[in-house]
Amino acid sequence: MAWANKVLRINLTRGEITDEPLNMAWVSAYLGQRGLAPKYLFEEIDPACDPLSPENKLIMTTGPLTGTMASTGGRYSVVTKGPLTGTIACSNSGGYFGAELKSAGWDMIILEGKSPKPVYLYVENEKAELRDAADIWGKSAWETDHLLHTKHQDPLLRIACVGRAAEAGCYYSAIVNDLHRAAGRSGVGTVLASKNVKAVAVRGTKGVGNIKDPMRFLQATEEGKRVLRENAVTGGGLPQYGTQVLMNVINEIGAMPTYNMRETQFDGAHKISGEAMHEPRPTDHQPNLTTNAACFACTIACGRISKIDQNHFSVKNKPEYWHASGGLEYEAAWALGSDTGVDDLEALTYANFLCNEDAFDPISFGSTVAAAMELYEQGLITAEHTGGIEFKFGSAEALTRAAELVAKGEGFGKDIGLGSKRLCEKYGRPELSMTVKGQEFPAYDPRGIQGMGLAYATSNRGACHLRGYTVTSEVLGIPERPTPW
Amino acid sequence: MLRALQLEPEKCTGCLQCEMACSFENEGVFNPSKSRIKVFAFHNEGRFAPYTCTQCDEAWCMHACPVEAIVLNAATGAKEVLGDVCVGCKVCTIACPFGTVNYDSVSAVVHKCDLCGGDPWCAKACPTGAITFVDADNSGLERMRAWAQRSAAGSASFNAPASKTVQNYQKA
Repeated sequence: MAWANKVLRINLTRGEITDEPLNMAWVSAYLGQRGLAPKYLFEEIDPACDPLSPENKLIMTTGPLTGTMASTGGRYSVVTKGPLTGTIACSNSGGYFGAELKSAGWDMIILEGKSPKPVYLYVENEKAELRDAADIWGKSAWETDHLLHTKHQDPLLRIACVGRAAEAGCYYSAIVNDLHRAAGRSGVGTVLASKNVKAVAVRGTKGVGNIKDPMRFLQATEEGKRVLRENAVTGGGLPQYGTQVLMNVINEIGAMPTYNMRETQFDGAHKISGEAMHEPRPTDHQPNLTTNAACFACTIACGRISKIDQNHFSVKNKPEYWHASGGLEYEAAWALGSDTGVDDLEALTYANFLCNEDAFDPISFGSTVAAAMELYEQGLITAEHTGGIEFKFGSAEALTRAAELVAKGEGFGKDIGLGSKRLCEKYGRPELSMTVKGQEFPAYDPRGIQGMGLAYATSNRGACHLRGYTVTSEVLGIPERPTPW
Repeated sequence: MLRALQLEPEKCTGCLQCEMACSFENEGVFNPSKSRIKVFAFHNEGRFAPYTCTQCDEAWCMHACPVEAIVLNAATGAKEVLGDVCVGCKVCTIACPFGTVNYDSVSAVVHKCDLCGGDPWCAKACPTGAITFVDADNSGLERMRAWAQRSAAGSASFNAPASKTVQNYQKA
């Protein structure tokens, strides 16, 4: 397949950069990305190591199709031992970064050790350098992206970086690339920051080839595109409503985790749904959704690009948030919305912008806010802890304020940045944390979709919607609907 | 019938299928940096726009070339670069008002869109109809048809066409 056959290895402790051939025997056995990179990790780290110590390694890896025309194949993954779960973390992301890395002639980057000072990795085809990051450390991911583009005078540079949340030690920090795509879960950004690495900036102009039979490859990708185009979900529902196409569906069947997963239906679901994102707002007559957008090579284009209502309390007099950027995907809308009881679409969009701006996982963040709200309701967390914020279910103010605090790692944001498990333990009610292996549940209540219960329980990275996604069969009937008995 | 590429930015999603198809057809690898068609992302406005050579009738690049390395393909109307004649002087890249002729330091010649000999791969690869290959003398035909359909339907309010997401996938 389309491998460059090259691995970039960075020893951050010594500042050494070497290249080595990709282990093709492992490629045959483990294919790529989520299969291949964990093999490297297992062989190279002590499984008992502290995830945030120099002994841990962080691997950025492409797959066999990354950088080709294969629709939906343009993704990359970050594999490391995660701080949230203390076990393997494997988070994947779309956007353009992965394809750019492959196009620069690298299949994989292995970061090991810890840099003595903040650095960023700059890759331009064969050239790879660690550069001083003193001027971008302490900046948000958006600002970092802007500053690096300006510094290198290269608008085509693709950047993956961490924000201030990761620097402050938030346990579910993400690595954001292309401003609003994220290797989001399990705290992979926290690991990158622990190594004193702020960003990886890549420019690749070599292209992706090495395909044994290119014409047959093109036929196969064409056939794949046809399947996606003709399917009602990938050809219609997803481009029109994004993954948010699920909001009303999942709510209707009673699998919408609500109020820290106490309930399975949310009265406000229709107000924060994919359909609602198309509705013109009464204040400015514009819909929340500006357009849909694709990741590299993807012919589905489920991505949401939104603009927040300038009249909304969260962004009033803050023109820096008036532009278009990555809008609500279903997982973010659920966690920020129904789990916290907030049905204010603009507030959720703003919180989502902040999750992108400072690179933290909206699923874990929203779920942790929901847990904090339940603890507040029970009197275990008080206004004294929150710095005066009334942490009530349904409060858009509490949600947006919490996002601002986690983004900067300030005040009560430090507690929310612990994740639901550590937060609930800290306040004496560990059973209120809706987590598996310390990672927050995603958007499907297993009481409504039983298979997801099994998926959460058995996923090696903790509760997760991307391992054993029985929603496809149980809810959408693809390829067929199983009988529940 | 002469045909031309028609670009409709409002339908573009930024997937870069066109750039990969173009680079694959011309260079044999998937390499957006070698594509003759480029998709530009205007992040803050939430817009994407594909852009490439319009094959000017009075092609400034062709007139500017001192060695006649850019020639008209009479069958397709494309202005094509003869790679073995081009000396890499780059005067055409300056002459082109639209920036669609570019120098490639690896091959040491310029490259531009040649309509793939009359069957452009970018149009075939585009999943949303943002790039189509249409009758050059009637490039407005589809747009006229859309408006005509509205008037025929007796629509009193002659609104602008519906938003991209809806429009695209009704068509697909």
